[in-house]
Amino acid sequence: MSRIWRAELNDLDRLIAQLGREGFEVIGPRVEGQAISYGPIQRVADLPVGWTEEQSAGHYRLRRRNDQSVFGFTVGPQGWRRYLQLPKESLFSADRNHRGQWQVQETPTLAPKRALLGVRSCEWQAIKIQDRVFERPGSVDQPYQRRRESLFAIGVDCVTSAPTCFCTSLGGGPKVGEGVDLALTEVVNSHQHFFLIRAGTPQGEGLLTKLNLGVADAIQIKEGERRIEHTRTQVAGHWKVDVKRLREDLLANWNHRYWEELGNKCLACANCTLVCPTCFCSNTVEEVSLEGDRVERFRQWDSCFTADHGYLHGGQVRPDVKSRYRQWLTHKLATWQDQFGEVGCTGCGRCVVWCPVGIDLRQAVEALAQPEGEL
Amino acid sequence: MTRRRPRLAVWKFTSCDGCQLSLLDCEDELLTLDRHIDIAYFMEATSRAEPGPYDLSLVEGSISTPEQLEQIVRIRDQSRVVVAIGACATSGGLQALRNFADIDEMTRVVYASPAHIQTLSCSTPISQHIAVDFELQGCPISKTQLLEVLGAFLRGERPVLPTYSVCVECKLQGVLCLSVSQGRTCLGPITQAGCGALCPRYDRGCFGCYGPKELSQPRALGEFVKAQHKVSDRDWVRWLRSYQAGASEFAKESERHEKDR
Ligand code: SF4
Ligand code: SF4
Ligand code: SF4
Ligand code: SF4
Repeated sequence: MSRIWRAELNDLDRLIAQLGREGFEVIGPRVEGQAISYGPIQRVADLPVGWTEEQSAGHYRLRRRNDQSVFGFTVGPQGWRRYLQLPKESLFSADRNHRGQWQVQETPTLAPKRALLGVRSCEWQAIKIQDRVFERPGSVDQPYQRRRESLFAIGVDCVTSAPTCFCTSLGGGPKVGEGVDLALTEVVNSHQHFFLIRAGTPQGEGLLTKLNLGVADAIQIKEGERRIEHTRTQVAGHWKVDVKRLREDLLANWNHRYWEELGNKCLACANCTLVCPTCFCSNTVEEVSLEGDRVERFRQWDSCFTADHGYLHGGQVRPDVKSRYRQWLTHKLATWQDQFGEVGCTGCGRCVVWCPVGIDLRQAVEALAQPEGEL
Repeated sequence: MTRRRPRLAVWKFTSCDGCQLSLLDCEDELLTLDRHIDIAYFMEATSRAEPGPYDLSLVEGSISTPEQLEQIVRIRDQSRVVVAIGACATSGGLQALRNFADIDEMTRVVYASPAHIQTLSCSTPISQHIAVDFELQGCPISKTQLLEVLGAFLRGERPVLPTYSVCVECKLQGVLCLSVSQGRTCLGPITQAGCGALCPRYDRGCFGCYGPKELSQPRALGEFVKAQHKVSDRDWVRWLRSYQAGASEFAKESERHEKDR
């Protein structure tokens, strides 16, 4: 096991400054309007010090904490996905010259050096899931890969949870998994406030060396572990599910009556898929000049809840809300397993919280596993 | 090789003129447009009116008087392609509020000599009277979307415009959801995109001026906001009855509350 260091609040400021000196734009959580969202960070004071949130199905409220925790919340409205798979990205443009010939220009890929500060376990797992989607041997998505290579990730272990978190039931959390460059555990109580910090890559190791931190002692490490374990027990109570059975239950119940009910409740608004950190669908859209002599092609986030997504060869394969909801749920939890050998969900709970009518995926799964007669 | 420029007509029925104005508002593109389209009839821009037939008719406004019933049929007869533009033309507009009231009582209250008023009891969309080739939603319509419709017409293609929710536009731009984060009423999830999430960007709930999206489910949203955000039946009906009161999905849901009562 690599060593665990101890950092004070001002060391965190030094870490941010050092990343800046090394050319990284540091992105982290900030209170922005009525939520904690990700954006550029210059110093610890920019982080949501003393803030937390209250989350349930279709409900999110920013709340004050009664301490000065820097990471005393869980996950906000949108994940890191927008920094890797851009919401809208130009791919190329083409112009027609006076002789009627087309000249095509590839759009340069935006891949700035970025450091993500405060990546949670469910989010890191989601990034790795997307890696397997976009960096699949034989079909590597170049822009994604370039951005991924320019990324420095600083994870944060969760020492608090929301009732909508269920990472542990999907093999993750609350401790950030392997592969992050650095990982922090925050310890706050009435008389002390410090961070345990560990490196997960040589690059992270290198950065830590520059900070000259002291090694954490066994008691401090225990303090951190205790908090993580407490959170693990908490989260485990939020849902338990057997992934293999999940797949079978969902696919065996393709015509279950409850899909109908979900189809009546769901708005097909697409929010769940757009806040989900693993969803990867996109559409290509073209912007054509009035005269048709210039065209630019973009790739834009799409969702299986839109009409375009199910429109194939002149026909709609998912004509109603029911079939779209079914596509979403079964892809995330069941057919993703066939496609990529793992589940497409990390239990971050965003789809539950940010659904404007509070549809809870866990409840949907439980209902679908019930024999129809017993509903 | 010079081709005959297709002839454009812009028609107005019961409306505020705002959507036609969106065409004049295309300042940078107007000259290009003029190179490719012959503006044959456009009263708001020029009093020079050329007779039909027309290749493309943009129709603004709803049908709300007896003469309009005949006029719209004549327009269809003279036009190769008819595009209804704006909430009035696609769902009856603000004036469709009359559809939920007694028209005689209304005229008596509003006009000094109601006997002079000749009007239909309902304000209805163009598609209720003639075949319409494309409906461009919005109150007012978006200039960019209008240009896409015109460009697609010139290129002989079908316009590519989103039919998904306003929420998608919020999420693409990273706009915080007002409904979930503050419990505020927002029709974004049932409303068609196109405005670029204008209202949520300015910290206001969407009031649905772009009309129902594809597979719009106002009933499901209504049940949730009434239970969770404590919106009264009366207020929910008001939310649904504004710029798109006559849109069938919205109207059905608002009428359900009146029947319940
Ligand atoms: S499906 Fe829901 S809980 Fe799972 S990763 Fe996506 S947003 Fe999070
Ligand atoms: S759930 Fe839908 S939007 Fe998400 S990856 Fe699957 S098909 Fe795409
Ligand atoms: S489940 Fe919720 S967020 Fe997802 S499309 Fe349906 S209503 Fe929208
Ligand atoms: S947010 Fe809604 S009300 Fe506002 S402009 Fe857009 S469609 Fe209209």
